[in-house]
Amino acid sequence: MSGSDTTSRAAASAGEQIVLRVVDLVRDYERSDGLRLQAVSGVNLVVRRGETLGLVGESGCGKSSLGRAILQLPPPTSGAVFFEGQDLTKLDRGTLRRCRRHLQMVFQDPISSLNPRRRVGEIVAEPLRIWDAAPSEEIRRRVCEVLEIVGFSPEEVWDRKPHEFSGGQCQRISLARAVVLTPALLICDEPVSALDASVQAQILNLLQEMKTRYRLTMMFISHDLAVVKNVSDRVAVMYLGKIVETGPTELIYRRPRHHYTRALMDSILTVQSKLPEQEALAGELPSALDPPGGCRFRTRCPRCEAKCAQLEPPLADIEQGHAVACHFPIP
Amino acid sequence: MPAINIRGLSTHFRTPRGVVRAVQDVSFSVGAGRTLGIVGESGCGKSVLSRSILRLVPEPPGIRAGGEVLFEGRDLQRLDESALRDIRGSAIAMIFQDPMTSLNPVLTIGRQIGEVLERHLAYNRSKARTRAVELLETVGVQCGPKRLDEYPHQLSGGMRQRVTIAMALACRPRLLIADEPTTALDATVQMQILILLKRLQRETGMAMIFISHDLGAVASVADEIAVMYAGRIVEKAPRADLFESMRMPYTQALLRARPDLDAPPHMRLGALEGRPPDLARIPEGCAFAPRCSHADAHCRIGAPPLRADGGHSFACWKPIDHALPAEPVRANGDDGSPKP
Repeated sequence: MSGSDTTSRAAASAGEQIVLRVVDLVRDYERSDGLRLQAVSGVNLVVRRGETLGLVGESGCGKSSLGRAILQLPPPTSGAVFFEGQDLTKLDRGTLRRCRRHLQMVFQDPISSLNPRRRVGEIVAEPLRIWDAAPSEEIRRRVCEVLEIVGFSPEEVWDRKPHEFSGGQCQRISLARAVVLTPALLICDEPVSALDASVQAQILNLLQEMKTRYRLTMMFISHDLAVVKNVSDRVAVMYLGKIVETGPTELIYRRPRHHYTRALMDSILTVQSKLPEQEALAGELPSALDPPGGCRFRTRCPRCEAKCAQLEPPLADIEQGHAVACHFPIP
Repeated sequence: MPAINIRGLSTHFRTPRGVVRAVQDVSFSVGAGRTLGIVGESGCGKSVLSRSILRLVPEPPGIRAGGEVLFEGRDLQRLDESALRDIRGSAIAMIFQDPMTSLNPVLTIGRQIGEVLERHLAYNRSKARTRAVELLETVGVQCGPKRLDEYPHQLSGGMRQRVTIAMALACRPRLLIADEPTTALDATVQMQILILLKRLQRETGMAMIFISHDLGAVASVADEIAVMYAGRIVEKAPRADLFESMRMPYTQALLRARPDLDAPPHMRLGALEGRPPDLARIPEGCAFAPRCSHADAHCRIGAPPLRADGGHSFACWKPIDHALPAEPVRANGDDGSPKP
């Protein structure tokens, strides 16, 4: 049993409700050349009601595959996904379908995730039409309300189509559609990565407002550490299919204990920082087709020793609520 | 003498919606061994500007609407196509955000680098091959001749960008134009590439124009930074000077929009209202005025000229006065109105 799990049990007994519990999740993909690639290799995590878990890592680390496997899009190769106590991987199609209304997702590309032929009013109303047998005036009222919350004047945008909107505006429409059913869990996969800084800030502020208003529980997937810090209560750092460090946001950012987390932090360029002589992390992500044995980060780790090649470090608590998968964590 | 000196450069596009003024009256110069960073949001004209220098903007719809690009005594705006071809990729090289823009997917990387050497330096095949291995090693792509026979799709994004840098440097350019070279890369790889570019610049003394939407990336490599908005340079200053005493409210807003790593989670960000203007319908007066918290009636009438205060120039009627206490950015708005 991993460290983060122990913590979450303790928290649950303290009265915090767990919305999502992922247990030993593995997601394999078969490539066209027949080789099997393991995108997610045994991930355990929990998300508690009302919190935002930030899932951060570089491209190819498996964070999007994990997000999709949670939603059963497609289902994981093995492992369990307990959502409100039910294991989604064991549900029949009909029950899973009914669960889906409580699980929503927002994607990176706001334009292609909206049907170009539909009008904004219909797009946002669709989940309600499918799931709620409410009268159409009631549906219209609720859609107008959510459109206003995301910053539109409903009458003005109702009959427009997605191509008439900018990327930031399309992301607002996606958000409206995702929250109109007040989901129990919202998974956002790089929702602001395609947007300019000023629009990014608008959407991040909006997400925060909606989180408060709808008491949203969120999983926020991103490669951008600054953005993740702004939105998350807790953070999980992924590397090559595994979570290497997880804990409360402030703690992780103030004092990262895993060498990879530290390298990620040191790679952030701000207007105050000067470009160092030496990169924070050399080399490239090893192939997920043939990950290094033992600790997966050892091939790029400054602290690597023989033990790291022989024994995989478990994700274990280093202090209350803060778990690290490293034999030689940063002191 | 500057490596490149650009005076009043304008590039427009003729479109069904009217004339798009993508680059308007832009002037700057970059000395040998120096880096000018150009920062701005999408649609501000920074990429059109970078392509206008080597006349890579297709005409039509592009129009050379005025100005000079002086490079080693010649005005590139008035050069004929064959003379320009001799300069492109040799004296002035360019790298792009997507390395596949400059890499041919059906040629091995050895052939691509070789072609540059054969075209511009009249190398023969075997000499080009040897030199290609050296160049790849310079940019940190190891394992020599075997690598030469690989195709771009066999490489990671970071490796591809290293290959395009090797190609760009093959002829020892005096000027390198880097247009969002690290935007598609992860942060750790971005840092590797930026360190590489700066090292190569120190070794060769080339001038560099580094274009990005990312203020952090620009600040880490540039000696001088120009901020673009709606096709114009609205503020330009030496790096330290810009961040210590920025005068343009737009520059300040750009900086405040990014989440601060030192701030606690869930801090409200200084979001800027609205969106940049449509370049076919740039508002009268200051183009930033409709979004600016400092703007008054005066700002909406006359366009502010770019005026210089020492090495620091800015185009603003109501610049930030650093003698006064800082004014908070106006509370968060939204871009709720549909596109015009």
